[in-house]
Amino acid sequence: MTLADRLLLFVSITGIVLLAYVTWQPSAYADRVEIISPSGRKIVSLRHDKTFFVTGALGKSELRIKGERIRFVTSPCQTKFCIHQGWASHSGDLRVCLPNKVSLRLLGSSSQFDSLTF
Amino acid sequence: MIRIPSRSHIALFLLLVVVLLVSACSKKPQLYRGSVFTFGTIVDYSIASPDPALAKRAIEAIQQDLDYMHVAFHAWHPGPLGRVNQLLKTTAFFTANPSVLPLIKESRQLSILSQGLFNPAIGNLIRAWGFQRDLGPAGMAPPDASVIQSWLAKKPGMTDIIIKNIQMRSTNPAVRLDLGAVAKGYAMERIIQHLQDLGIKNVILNAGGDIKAIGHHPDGRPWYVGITHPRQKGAVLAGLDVMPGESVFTSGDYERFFMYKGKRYNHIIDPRTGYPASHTQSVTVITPSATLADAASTALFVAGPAQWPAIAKAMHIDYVLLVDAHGNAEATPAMLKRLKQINPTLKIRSRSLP
Repeated sequence: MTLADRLLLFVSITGIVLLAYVTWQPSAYADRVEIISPSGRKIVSLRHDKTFFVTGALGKSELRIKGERIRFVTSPCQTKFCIHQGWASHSGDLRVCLPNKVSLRLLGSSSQFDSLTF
Repeated sequence: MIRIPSRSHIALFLLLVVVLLVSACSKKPQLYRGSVFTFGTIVDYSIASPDPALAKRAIEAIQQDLDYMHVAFHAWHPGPLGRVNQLLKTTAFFTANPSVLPLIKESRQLSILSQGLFNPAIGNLIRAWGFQRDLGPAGMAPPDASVIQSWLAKKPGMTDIIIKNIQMRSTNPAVRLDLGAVAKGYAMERIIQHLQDLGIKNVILNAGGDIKAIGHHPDGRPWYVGITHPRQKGAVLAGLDVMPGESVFTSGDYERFFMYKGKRYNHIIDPRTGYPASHTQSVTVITPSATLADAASTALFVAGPAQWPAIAKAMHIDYVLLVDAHGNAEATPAMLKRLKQINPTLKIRSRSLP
């Protein structure tokens, strides 16, 4: 590899790093979660940490909100896939427990609006 | 022929890259978002600051200032305003508490400007309707018609209050102040001033749905806010850019109300009839002063579809969006120009001020 090749390689890598730095945008963060269960649809704020239950088709799913994220903690389903999906933290993220018919979709008014007047 | 750069040139180039990266990192303001429970509501803040310690001081200031003003301006808990109300009943001159006197003075002027539709002297009427309580709406019922007629006969208004320097009195013992329709706006003005004194240049505050912003988003664009649909949960009517220093306030019938025998009774009482104004679902106004925006959104809600343009003109409000009881929307031409992403289910009629 000649010195010119090395220089070209260096400039290319530096350019890629700089471009990534300049253009990278964090994913849209969410501030609410839409919870759908057999009892209906409700919107819950992610601003306040808490643990609560939602009753599904099989029984109660335990949900935890922490640091503007939400996850399934316990579930009456057999697969526990919903728990293994872990935390949902970005607008549009979806966590579903199909057997218990409970779904969580994160909503990010913040991804579009900085604030809402009401 | 390619000229090979010398080692010193490469070193210089590397140094330049490092300096650029470091300067880019150190100057970019971060967005600090969160909320505090105060002033009887949730206050959301988004502070753009390059200094985490400064942002922390600002958040503490928001909490402390609002806690203090919440006690001072509370309409039914014991405190400075409560004491003023006790003394107003005597109709004799007294020295007003300095924590509430400036707000009372400003409220008096705004009430006159609104032709009495914003009337903070109706504390007794609001209490009769049951809206001066810490509990939820369960069990609430309208007051007896005779109670309202008796209150209307006394006609308490802000012009009954006489202020001389630091002393004040009421010529009407029926005056009881409830500053709920203006105190939040006034408090937000004071907080923004405090944050600016601390060195904060870019912040958007949302106190229970009422917004005041300075500066812009860390991305360099204006703060962008949505106007909530008064009937469709989770939907917005439209979005708009908030210019630095502007306040966006909405008065609606859907946040505080009770249902009685299938009828909705909201908390915005028309001082002319003694009953909640039922011709309007929501009014959104934009103006620099949060105090004016707070009072004006209430006054225009009370004015309703028939009168809002005249009252908006009297109060010098150029940007108004009103949704009436049937869901029909109308806005000033100036407001229409600013609305973006208008809800496709909504047709907004343009209505000029007289």
